[in-house]
Amino acid sequence: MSKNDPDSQFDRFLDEWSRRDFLRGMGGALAFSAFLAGGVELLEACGGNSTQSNTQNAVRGGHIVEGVISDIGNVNPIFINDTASATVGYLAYARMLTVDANTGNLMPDLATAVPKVDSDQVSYKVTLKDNIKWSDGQPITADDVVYTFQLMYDPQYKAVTSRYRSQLEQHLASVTAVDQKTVVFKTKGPYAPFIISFINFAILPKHVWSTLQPAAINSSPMNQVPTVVSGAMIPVKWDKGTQYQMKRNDLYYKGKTYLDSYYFKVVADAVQVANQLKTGEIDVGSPDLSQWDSLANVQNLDRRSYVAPSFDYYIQNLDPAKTPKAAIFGDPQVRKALLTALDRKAVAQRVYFGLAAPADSSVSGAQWVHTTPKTQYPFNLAKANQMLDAAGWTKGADGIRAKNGVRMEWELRTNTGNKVRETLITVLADQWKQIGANVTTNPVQFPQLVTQLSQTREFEMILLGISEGLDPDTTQLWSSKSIGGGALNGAAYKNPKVDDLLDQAVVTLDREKRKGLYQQLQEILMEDLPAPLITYPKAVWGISKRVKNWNVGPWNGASPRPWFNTVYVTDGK
Amino acid sequence: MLAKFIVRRALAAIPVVVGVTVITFVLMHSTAGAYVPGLSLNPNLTAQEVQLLRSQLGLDQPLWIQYLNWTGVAWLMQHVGLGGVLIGAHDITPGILEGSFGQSMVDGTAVTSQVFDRLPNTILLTVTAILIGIVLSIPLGVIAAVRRGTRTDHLLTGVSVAGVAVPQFWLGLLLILVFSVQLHAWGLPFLPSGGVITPFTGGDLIDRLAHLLMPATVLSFVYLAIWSRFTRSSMVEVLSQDYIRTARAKGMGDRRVRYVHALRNAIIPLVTLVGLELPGLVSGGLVVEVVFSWPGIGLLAYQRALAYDYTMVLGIVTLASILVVAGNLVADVMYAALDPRIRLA
Repeated sequence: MSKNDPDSQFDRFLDEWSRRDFLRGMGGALAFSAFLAGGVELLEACGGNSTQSNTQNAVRGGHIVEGVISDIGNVNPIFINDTASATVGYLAYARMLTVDANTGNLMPDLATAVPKVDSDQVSYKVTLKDNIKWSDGQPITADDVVYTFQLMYDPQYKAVTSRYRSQLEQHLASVTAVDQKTVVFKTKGPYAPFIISFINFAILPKHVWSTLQPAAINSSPMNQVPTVVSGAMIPVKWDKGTQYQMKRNDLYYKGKTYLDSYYFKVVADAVQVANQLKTGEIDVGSPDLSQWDSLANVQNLDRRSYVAPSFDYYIQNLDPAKTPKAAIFGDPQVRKALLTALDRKAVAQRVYFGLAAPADSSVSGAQWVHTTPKTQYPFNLAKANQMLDAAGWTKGADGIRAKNGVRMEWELRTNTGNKVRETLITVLADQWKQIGANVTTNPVQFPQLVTQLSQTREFEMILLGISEGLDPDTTQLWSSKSIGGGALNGAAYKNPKVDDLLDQAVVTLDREKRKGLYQQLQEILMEDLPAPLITYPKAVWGISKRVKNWNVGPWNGASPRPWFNTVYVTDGK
Repeated sequence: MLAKFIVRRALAAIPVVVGVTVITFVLMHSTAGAYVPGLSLNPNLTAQEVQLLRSQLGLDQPLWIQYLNWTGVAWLMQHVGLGGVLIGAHDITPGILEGSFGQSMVDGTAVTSQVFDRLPNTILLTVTAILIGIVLSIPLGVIAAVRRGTRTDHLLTGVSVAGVAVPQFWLGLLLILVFSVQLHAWGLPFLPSGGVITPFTGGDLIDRLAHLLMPATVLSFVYLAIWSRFTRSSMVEVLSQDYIRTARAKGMGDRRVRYVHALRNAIIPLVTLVGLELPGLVSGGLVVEVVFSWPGIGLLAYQRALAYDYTMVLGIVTLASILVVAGNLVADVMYAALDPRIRLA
């Protein structure tokens, strides 16, 4: 059984959502810079939900069972760290802003509108809607917002171990309640991702949590089964490892959901999700890619797939101090030849069971800053061989190329427990053999791999996947500041122009200007190829025919689900 | 005498449990290196955050301090004035001394609450499997013994060999495929393919039994295989005894001879075998739990070990080793109680 271990849980987490998304999650700079730019983008932002919910024949009542491959951990928004917890957490807690499934546009949730930055470039004013209440009848006010943020960054709450503390301490100058309904955020300096990271956030009820000592907040059972919430569903019961039960919140500001109850059922792995979709034991879930075809002819089941905001890529270690193989990867011609030798279309077809698209840039197609750079590397085995010949890497008697005594051989690692990646590395090794490179493969435990990539940087080549956040800032991937110490530039790629673009873009609040900067970045990265992208994997869902309006999309896979109140079951049971 | 025996065994168990915790602790930390549990490849993760996480989880302290903190010894040391020895320590808690095995490093839930909430599921599974094993292996063993050398005997031998040879995960997956997926596809009543209860409609006895049936059967297969062989050979031996011949000579019916006289004596070694399974009650069902999404502590330990959730794994291993030692003790006492020829040393 390889799909049930936490490695693949992390992968699921990676493939479906990244932790920062819960903060930056969905939208942000998009919508507000749309206001700045005006015009068409304004219409997009106003239009908001481009996924259609049809409630003409909606039936009231009934339940739905969602199958998920990991149990919840902590559903408190200030602690949420995994997909499963986010799924439940954002059904329980409403947020100030939410996100459209397909476009990734920010939409107002508890706020009246998506805020735009003031002329001082650091102040943001958020106004809450009228008549919004907690599930115990108390009104949701600006004090709740301020309290939630204080828990995360105020020194008096230092005992609260929120993972967002260091980020907030770095960027947030103050958060104040101007009146019952209005909150003003001030950043320390212009910071483009601010709305996505911090205003796109859920709120805690102050009147409930402030009765606890700060240290007690970390271990309160309300972190798993909150008593007072503001979202579409109210938590009822958590049977560890089995299921999480929720019931309809009659005080939800959007109105009562059609469903009476929601069950989150824990299933050991994605293949079992597929089995339970077939038998009807669960209504919705993400099955294993390998089961996609077998779900095609199941009665009473629909399938859905979409390109998720994520990508699979391989990182070449460019640091000669860490590995002698840097002599191979250090040559730009070699890097280009290696990518040219990969038949990415065939890979997407066979390794991903057809459920992926070949990559063409350094960000996924779902990102609003995506562009198709001029430099591309279409698959061409002959050309790859020529490039290597021209670069002085000559084939030896055993068919392996060498130059200046350095043979073209290295070890390619990926994480265990992910069948797709384990197959992928053997396919890559095989394709590179065709151009005279001797690649050995080695699946490694995920924790080791993360340590190797982000701390010790002792590796030759690693294949991994990244789940993108809604904000396009990729400083952690490509900046020279992000080498080691837990950051993700494992290749040790250093390009001052790239650093400059990244630094500029993160403080550029104008959407069009920002997009231009990231497009320049993509052009450079496609030239330099420190860590080329191979595919954009798709996310897949099995949805029972009795469930309507289950509008999951690239930016709404697990959370948030602004359309949840329109979901109904045709039999009302 | 019995009391002395139990006390002596309990005292001898303490260094065993402590040793287990030390070994587990060292192994986990040496394989994980600098990894922070709960960490993922997040493109927005900064180095400061990783540092903060390490500090919050106490992983930036020296290893020996982390261990002492977990056992509560560090807290004791602070209270008797030896706190100065603990260089680099922060956030010392009473730990085990207050009955707390800490919080999970991955999701913050209390270790004891996770373990004790899931332990009954595991025990239910293994006890049911053992019961099925006993109920089926006795008649099978008796039949094989009585008909030894015939085709029935050979058939049952084949079943035994299969029971030991067939991997549990293969058998489990096969049963799911047939009794869950296929039966459903044919429109027939089908068995649930995993979990403990059906959400919403389930939770009653029939539902729970339906969920329990397949996993317990798969788990019992191995027990069945071994115990039926054992019962068979034990029966064969007993059936050749003089007192059996006497009973037959007196005109006693076959059935009475077999089940009243012979079986009673043949069972005793079986009790030993079953008793040997007591320690395995807690850990035996791991593969089955994984295949059937059975929420027991086997599945929990497996998932958390791979996630490097140090505190959870340490907690599970410690509690499991205590239970194993206790199980051994109970088995020994039970054996001595049943067979007067045995003396407890």
